Amino acid sequence: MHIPDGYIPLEQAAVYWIIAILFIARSIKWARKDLNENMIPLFGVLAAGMFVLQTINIAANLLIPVPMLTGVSWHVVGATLAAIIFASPWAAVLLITLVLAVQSLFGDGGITAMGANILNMGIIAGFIGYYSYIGLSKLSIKRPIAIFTGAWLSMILPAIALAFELWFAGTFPLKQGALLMGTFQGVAGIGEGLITVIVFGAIIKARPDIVEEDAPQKVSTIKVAAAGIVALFGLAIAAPFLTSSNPDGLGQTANVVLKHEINSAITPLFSSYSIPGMGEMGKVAAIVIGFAAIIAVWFVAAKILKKGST
Amino acid sequence: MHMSITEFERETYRKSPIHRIDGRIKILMTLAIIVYAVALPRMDSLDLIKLGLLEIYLIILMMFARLEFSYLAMRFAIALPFGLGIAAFQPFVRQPFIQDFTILYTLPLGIEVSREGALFGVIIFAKFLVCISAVILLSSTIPMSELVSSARRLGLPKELALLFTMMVRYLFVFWNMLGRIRTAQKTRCFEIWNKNVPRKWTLEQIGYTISSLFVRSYEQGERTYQSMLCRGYNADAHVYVGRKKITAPDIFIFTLTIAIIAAAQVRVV
Repeated sequence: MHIPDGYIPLEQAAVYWIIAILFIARSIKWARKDLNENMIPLFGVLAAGMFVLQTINIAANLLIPVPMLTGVSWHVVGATLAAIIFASPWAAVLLITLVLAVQSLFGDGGITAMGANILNMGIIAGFIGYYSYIGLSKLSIKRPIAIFTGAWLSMILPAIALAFELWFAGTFPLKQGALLMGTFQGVAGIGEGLITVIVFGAIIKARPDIVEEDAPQKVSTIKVAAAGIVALFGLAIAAPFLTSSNPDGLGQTANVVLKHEINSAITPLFSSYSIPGMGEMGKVAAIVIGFAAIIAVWFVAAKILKKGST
Repeated sequence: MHMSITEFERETYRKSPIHRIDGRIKILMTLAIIVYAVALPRMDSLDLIKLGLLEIYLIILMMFARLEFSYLAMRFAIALPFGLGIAAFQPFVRQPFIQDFTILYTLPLGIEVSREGALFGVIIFAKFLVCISAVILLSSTIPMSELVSSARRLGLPKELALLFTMMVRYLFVFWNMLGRIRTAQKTRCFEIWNKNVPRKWTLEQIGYTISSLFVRSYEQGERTYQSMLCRGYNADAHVYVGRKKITAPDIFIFTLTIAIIAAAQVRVV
């Protein structure tokens, strides 16, 4: 998962670094101000612990007993864990950045590519993991399931982001990359999810005072919704590049059953998810427009319902 | 292929001309080499000569640093696999930025090996090798605490310097703690790869190890933080780093590195 030096061109690496620096600066501000005390030294020590716990290699066939996976191992990242315990994704950004910086000294991940690595494993993983957990908890889903889902997403989405980064860099084809890294991280994510649930349970028993249990109630729904919308927009932009040009399962079945009647009967606004004459950008635009339309309809419906209730 | 971080750190306390060079100079040298290697164009066979020159220079520096061969081999063996894997894929895929492909061989299942893909694979691997060599040289010739204080002298923000100072100081404590946990588990016949026990149980044990490490490091952090408060730590506090003079050998080695990069660029083109 750690991108080494040389696999991302310098100008792209610089862009990732700039994003990473903005987030790191904010996370330091969080450690200094948002926690009631200036807890910076504590996080330095905790980062050392995080580094060490990432050195525990766990066999992949512990999760899925396939002989092919013998010898393959993964380790816990802990971005979601840190974010949930300190009730802030900034904790994940800060801790993972420190861990990645020291790992790069051991040759695990590059110096120029560190910005991209921080973006994937700290920022994307921390925010997605944390807000999935909060969002699911708000929907009154049981805590272990919410934690598991958050941790699993925090492994698989960075892998997809990594596939995109290597594709932008021209280093690895997108679909194969997403499939390869997505599969591996999807499996490792199951482990990450289970371990995060176990560790969270153990920590809440040992030190209930450090865990902010009521975080799901405290965080405003608007914040969670905003995070969700940003994530969905990201996926909407990514989706057309990942989908193949073959008709999807539903379309194919419809074709077989209705023998193209469906096409003549209904003329969609944007045929096959694209706007003519805009190529790949058109697909992105079509999905974004569609998505915006759904949100607009949703808001209008909510307003009408609200008016009706008062 | 497991190597203790204490073994890594031991190498940094050797005595050699390279170990004596100022930390700031070593950081800047490493960055210069890495940025130069990464910035080379991605499809140019001349890159290989330039990168080769840099690699030879780095190997010479490693020899001057009196680093042991077995140690270096181990360091490279740990660092290489992921990058090597991606580079090895290159001959089989069509890079989007290359227009014409010359097919060298066609393997069964219609897999084609292209000359351009292979060249690109070799170039990114060479870049990766040079960068890794530079990082290994840096991290084997400078203790971690010295690295942080040198970075501080180069203008690392004080908060980050404090974070890294604390982290580096406790890295070895927790490394040994994990070692003790592992030894304790071993005496109870716990084996992470053991297939004769339920998987759920093994996973739980790993979870407990991790939570124990997490809680212990948090508590250590609390203790450290509180004792720092007792000694007057506040938001304006920063890590003190004394002044250190840059000596003539430092300037020499820095100039030499820049000259070699310049020579690679000018001579080869």
